Amino acid sequence: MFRLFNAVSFGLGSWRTLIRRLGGLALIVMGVHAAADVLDNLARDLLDHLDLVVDEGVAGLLGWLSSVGGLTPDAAVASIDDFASLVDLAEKDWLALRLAFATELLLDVLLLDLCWGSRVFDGETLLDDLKRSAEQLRRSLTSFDLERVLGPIVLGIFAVGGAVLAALALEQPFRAALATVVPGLLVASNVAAAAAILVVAVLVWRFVPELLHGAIVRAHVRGERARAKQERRRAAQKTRWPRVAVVVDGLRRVFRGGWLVLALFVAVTGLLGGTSMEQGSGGAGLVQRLGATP
Amino acid sequence: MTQDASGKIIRRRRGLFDFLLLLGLGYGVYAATPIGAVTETAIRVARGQKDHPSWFATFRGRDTAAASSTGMVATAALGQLARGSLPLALQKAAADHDVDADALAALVAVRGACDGAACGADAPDKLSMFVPGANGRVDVDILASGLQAAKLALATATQTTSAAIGDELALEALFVGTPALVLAVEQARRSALDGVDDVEVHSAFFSPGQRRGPLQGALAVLLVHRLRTLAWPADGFRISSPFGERVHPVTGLVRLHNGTDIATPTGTPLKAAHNGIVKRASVDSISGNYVVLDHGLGVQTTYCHLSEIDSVEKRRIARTDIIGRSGSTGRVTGPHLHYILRVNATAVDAEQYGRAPGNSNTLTPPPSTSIPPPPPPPPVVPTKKKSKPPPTAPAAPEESAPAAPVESAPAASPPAEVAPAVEPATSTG
Repeated sequence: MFRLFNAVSFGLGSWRTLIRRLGGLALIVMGVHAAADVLDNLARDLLDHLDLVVDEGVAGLLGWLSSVGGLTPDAAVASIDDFASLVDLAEKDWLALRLAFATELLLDVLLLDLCWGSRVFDGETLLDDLKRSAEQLRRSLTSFDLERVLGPIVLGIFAVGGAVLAALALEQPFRAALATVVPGLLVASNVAAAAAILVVAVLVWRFVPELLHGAIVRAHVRGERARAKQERRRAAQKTRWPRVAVVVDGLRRVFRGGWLVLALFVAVTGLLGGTSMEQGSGGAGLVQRLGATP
Repeated sequence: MTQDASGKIIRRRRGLFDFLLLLGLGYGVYAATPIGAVTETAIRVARGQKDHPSWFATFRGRDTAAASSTGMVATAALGQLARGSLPLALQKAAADHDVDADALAALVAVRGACDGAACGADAPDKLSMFVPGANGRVDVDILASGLQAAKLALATATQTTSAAIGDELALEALFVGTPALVLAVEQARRSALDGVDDVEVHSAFFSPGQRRGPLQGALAVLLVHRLRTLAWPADGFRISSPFGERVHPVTGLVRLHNGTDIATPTGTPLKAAHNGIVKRASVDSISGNYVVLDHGLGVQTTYCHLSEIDSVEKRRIARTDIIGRSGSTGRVTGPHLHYILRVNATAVDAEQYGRAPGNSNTLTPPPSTSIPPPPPPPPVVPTKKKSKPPPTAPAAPEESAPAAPVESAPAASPPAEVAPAVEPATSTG
């Protein structure tokens, strides 16, 4: 039995790089969904306020037109009402949900490319592997742009959000099962929360370092590729102001990956705003649960 | 470490633990993100199947029965019993066994029919647990005795009285059985969740087999029961503009009015139609201050033009709790409540369901013993449908009529609330 266990475990070990990479991707997908769930509510609030401002603006404009004689008062009121009725509550709800859903799918696709970096694993010992990894990272961190700085941070936050979502899914049934053997609900609740934090820690430990390593390497590869492409284009095109072109190219290189600023906002909001698997409590994070009185 | 054929040293690593974690995460992606639903849709489309899971069901608060057959079955069944008195046979069975007639009516509406004195339904999955030998098509009397026995069994299991057992729990017990139900409710209670008696809360503790099987049968019945027991938000006030097509009071265009306008003066306390969660409490240029309550199973109510919001988003509220006070915020011609009932995201006529004034959805003796013919299905509100008014479009007469007491206001409504003097009011939304 033990030999079979060993054989299976070592057999899967030869696929460990792929397994960990897929695990990292799964964490990202779950983290992005947890964030999109919060984004859904944010989008709804934003649409409410935007709609209010636009409607009031149009009402003011048409009211002014009516006061200067450009429109009869009846026509102005009818037009104001007609415009304000264009988007109703249900439509805003519909729109917010689709906006969040589209953002989620877009982020999944964009981030997928970022986390598919490579890591060398051909050392004879763990120390060898670490040395090679460190060398790879050192080479990758020679120059910086927004993508290289924000990419790993955003991926890391999404991955932690995904781990929290997975842990919360386990926490509730675990707490219910625990409550049958532990006398106090407070004890069961805290033990379950602690177990969930342990699950987050294990998931992060097993999958996130590999993911971040890959992200840094991948960002470097993408950055160098973009730089080479830019240089080829500059060599092919003659410009009247070469110095200006150099400055413009430099700025474009530095701000490459600007969309990650938005992704960072979504990631942080998602991590702080709770996850979709909570029931009843609505919005409390895992850490808040630890020590909370039910 | 081992050596390969060429003598090179190869580090051997274990991967079982990571693999197991990956399997768990894979299931998480499939079950808790839209990626799972999108993938399943792609597979079903490739197989030529037309139905597919909702892509939005994994978003919080969006897991209603919008695309499920449960909602459609339930709303179609509700049509049979939406308006009009209950059949005599059903009322008699309810009275004989001291059970709620609404619960019995929901069972009959979804799973059976009443034709004169013959009134019955297909037996729920676990009815035989309470009434031995009750299988196949059973009489309403047997259903009533099953419901009574289910209440008693639940009361015994939870060491309480059968009066303390809710009708929805008893209905659910007929489908999933007492042991599974008691266990799920107990687990939900131990997890310190609010609303443990609500099926949306404790169903998370059913096994996947129970959720996919017997519970599905219960959901349609529970939805009908929930709709039949909706409270009216403001008793004793006249309806200034009903649900349906009307000439818009401001634009003069003919369009569908997606809610019911109740002529409540500013400051009137408004009651929640049922237990639920405050989904939205916000402000809109048309609706003014508004509150959206999610009652579960795809039922939502919206209360517009409030002067004051007394509820907090994501907070659980109980049936008839005060959620705010009526007013005249937003685009209105006077103070009133614009009340919208949505079932599976479709706005329906709230007057047709629950304890609406004028809806004789009560236990008064009916003129005949059969269920009245089903009314036409609730009209769907098109999102932007507009049409020009007819050349002789009259002004909406109800807009100028003074507020008057509701003739058939429920007996429970306090006299003080009747006949409020309010100015003519309507929603322009």
